[in-house]
Amino acid sequence: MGKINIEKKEYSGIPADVRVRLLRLGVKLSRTVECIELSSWNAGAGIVPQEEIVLVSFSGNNFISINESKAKTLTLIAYSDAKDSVLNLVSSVPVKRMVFLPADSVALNWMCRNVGKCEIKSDSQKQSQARISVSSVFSSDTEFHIDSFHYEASSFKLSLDSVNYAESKVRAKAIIPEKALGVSCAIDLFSLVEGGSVELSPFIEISNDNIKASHSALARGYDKAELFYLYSKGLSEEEARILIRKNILLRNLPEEEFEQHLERWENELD
Amino acid sequence: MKTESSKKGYVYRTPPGITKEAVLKLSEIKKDPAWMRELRLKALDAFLSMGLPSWSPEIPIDFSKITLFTKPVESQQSDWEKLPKEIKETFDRLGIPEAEREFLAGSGAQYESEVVYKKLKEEIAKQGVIFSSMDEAVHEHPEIVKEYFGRLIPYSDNKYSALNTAAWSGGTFIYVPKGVKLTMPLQTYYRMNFEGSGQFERTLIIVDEGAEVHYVEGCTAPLYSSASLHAGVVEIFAKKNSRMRFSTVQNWSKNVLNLTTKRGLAEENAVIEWIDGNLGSGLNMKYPAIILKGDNSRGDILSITSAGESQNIDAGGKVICIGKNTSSKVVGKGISFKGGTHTYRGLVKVLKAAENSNVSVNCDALLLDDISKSNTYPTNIIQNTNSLVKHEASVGKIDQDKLFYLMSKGISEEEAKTLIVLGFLSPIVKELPMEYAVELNKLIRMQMENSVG
Repeated sequence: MGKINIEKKEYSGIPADVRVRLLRLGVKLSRTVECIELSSWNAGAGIVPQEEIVLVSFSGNNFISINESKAKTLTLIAYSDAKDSVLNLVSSVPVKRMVFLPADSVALNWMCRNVGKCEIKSDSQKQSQARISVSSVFSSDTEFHIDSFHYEASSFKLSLDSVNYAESKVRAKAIIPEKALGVSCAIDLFSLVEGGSVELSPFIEISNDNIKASHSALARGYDKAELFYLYSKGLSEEEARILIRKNILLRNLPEEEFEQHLERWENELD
Repeated sequence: MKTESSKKGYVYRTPPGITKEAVLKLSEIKKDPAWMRELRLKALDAFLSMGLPSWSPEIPIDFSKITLFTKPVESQQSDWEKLPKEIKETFDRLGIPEAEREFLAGSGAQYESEVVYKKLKEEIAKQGVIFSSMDEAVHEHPEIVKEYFGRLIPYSDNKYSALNTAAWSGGTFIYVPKGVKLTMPLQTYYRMNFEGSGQFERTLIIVDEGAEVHYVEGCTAPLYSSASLHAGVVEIFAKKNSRMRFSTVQNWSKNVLNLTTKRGLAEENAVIEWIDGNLGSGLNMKYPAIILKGDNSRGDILSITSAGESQNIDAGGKVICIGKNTSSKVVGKGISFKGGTHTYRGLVKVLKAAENSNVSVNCDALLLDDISKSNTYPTNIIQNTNSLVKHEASVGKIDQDKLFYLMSKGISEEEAKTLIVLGFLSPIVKELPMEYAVELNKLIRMQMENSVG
């Protein structure tokens, strides 16, 4: 079991490379920063942010949840300078901004709801691999604006899976500048439409030819063939729908960490 | 001996500038009915007061230098031999009369602001098909024109539809009666010959119940140092069980800004297809749209974009599903080279009522060098729970293994790259009539010359 350190620091007190990368992303922070340091293998710690800006530094495989917050708005900065690290995060509070500052082979798995209007910014480093998987229940109106910035020989994958009940918009934009040679980038947006309206916009801007980029967006209702198959196995309509929703929301996340939270959300939705 | 007008190359031109005086003069020359004159003036007010959309690329144009109207000849002809020698030679070089003889049901040619030639094969005319210039249609078929003109693209739609509505001249009017199926295409060729010209043709096509037609348009202009403006508007009404295919090979020169609005409305079981080849112009903004209003209607958009040196080609398509069980396929293929910028911009919207609709969008781009750019901006909106909207896109460079294989067979690098590009574009090119497919391939080869190194 790892340790969690929580302390408040002035902006000038946070690591210089974090400040440089935040500047590069155009993120200006002037307030007190709540710094949460997660060392290896944290499992399931509940965090209640006190400040509007929370810097989560992590190494190894970590799991935290944020189900309440003392701050009016919340900016989360997920930062790791340790290779092969993962931050698994569950949140059910509004998040104004999520900033992802990964080292090589670092992943952010984020299952969220009630996120409101959220901006995600990601900054991959040279020759690094980074991945963001977001699974979200859009039970109230939701807006995601995602911008990823890419540097030489970096690899980046973003997947966003959602179940939509409200008026929701997702715009994900990858910017690959002229000097970012050898970039590999994939953006995949998916929404199961249970109700309301969903808008998916995966954008790419590319300024050199030494890249490999793809994006996809898929919005649909329940697949009738999938439902029929599950009915044929004896599942009721409700059970089949729950299973399909669960499969969608957990397909890009480590199931064991997130499953019980999702089950609780399903019960609350009922 | 040359007449004064043939020396100048035109009969009349309005002074440069998009002004009320120029619009009124144009309206007077056209002998517009009162409703059209009023519409032009309202549209001009809208044009002058409207801004550009926030997402638009920068449009390098000085409207005070654009000539709103140029009348090239005294009257429209249906006999090539009666056209002025200069105009005839221009279209002869483009192969227009030959194409008419060989594979067209009817053809027309617009030179500057007016249609100078229009001819429909006799047997087609006997079936009740109308193929005329819009100028003629306003006077000869006023009820139809008044009913449909601006219904799909009102002047308030965007700045350039407002400009077109104020300044429109020429263009094509097609009416295909119930059940008439044309096996050969109709065609109009557009040509701008003067520096600083504006061409604002207006096209209105009505395909009645159970009818079928394929319309092809081609566009060229010579290269000058200052910008010319092409801002056309095309409206298509496809009635129940009808089928309409609209193909374009746009090869304007690089000093032309091509800002065109095209929209089709498909009623029950109708099919609309846009085949859109965008090779020319310095700046292109063209997104053919289909409104699938009727149940079981279908609309496909196949678009090719080639952006070379000093070109910014912004193209794509829009699909709006309103009826039940509607379906659509959008395929975009773009190449960028010699510093050109290619952009795919698309919108798919499935409304709440459009149950069981299915839209798939696939757009791929090839970057041929490290100074060119490729952008993709799709927006997909779904408002019901039993439809499907799928978008996929990929961007990359030429596959080095394929290039190496072709070069190992003794093919030069330039030729190998051209072959790979033509193969990449072929799924769309093959949808064009053979003659246009050949022309398009030739144009791409010409554009790509010296693209290696």
